[in-house]
Amino acid sequence: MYFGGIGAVTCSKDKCHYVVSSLSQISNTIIPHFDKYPLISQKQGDYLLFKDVVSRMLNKEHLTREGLEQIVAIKASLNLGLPEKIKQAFSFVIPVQRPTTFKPVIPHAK
Amino acid sequence: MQGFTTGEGCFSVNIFKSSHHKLGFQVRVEFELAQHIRDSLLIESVKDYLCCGIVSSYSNGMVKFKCISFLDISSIIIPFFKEHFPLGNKRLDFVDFCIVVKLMEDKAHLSEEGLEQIRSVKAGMNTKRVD
Repeated sequence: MYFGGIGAVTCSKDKCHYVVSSLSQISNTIIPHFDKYPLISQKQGDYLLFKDVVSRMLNKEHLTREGLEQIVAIKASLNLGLPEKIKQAFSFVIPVQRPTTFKPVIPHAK
Repeated sequence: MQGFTTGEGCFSVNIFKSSHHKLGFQVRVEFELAQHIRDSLLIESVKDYLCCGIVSSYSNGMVKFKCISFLDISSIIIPFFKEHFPLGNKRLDFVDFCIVVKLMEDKAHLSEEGLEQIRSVKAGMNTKRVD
């Protein structure tokens, strides 16, 4: 309910996942939240790449060959990078540079 | 800190065999927060933020903040997280951790009976917790 009821929770054996996969819900709720409360670890780099892909998808860039290749180049630097099959299919793509966060600041300091 | 600790922190109670202690066992309470080595600056800033503990790097690519000083746990860590309670199940581990620290403040860990009490709290904490 924190995000106003969007997304779904799925549980398997010993793990539960909360997943939001609707582009509009990600863009209207998830992104504003993480812009307001930025991550303080290097995961912020992944968030910034993710956010870039979301804005490209909102512009329908993922529907053109060139736009798709640019998204693959971003995904190559996101989290664990590209799965082997995608890496082979897009072997010519040069991964974008991963943003690194600077001096970490813990919010709500005393 | 509250959210970060809910996800990545650990409140633990360790009981070691020790020839220096009358009962043959030493009880130690620890607060830890570990991350990938890429976030060593962040982990250093946790140490500065809480004004206690140490930071160590490990060969498996991990960097960890650790506070094992009983005095710092009872005067810094516990008051801080009582003001910023961890969420979810971590909250229950923190509550159990506080129970053990309180028992130790009352010197319970120096008697057989108190040590047994600490053991029974520890037996239901963290990975041993059954929902």
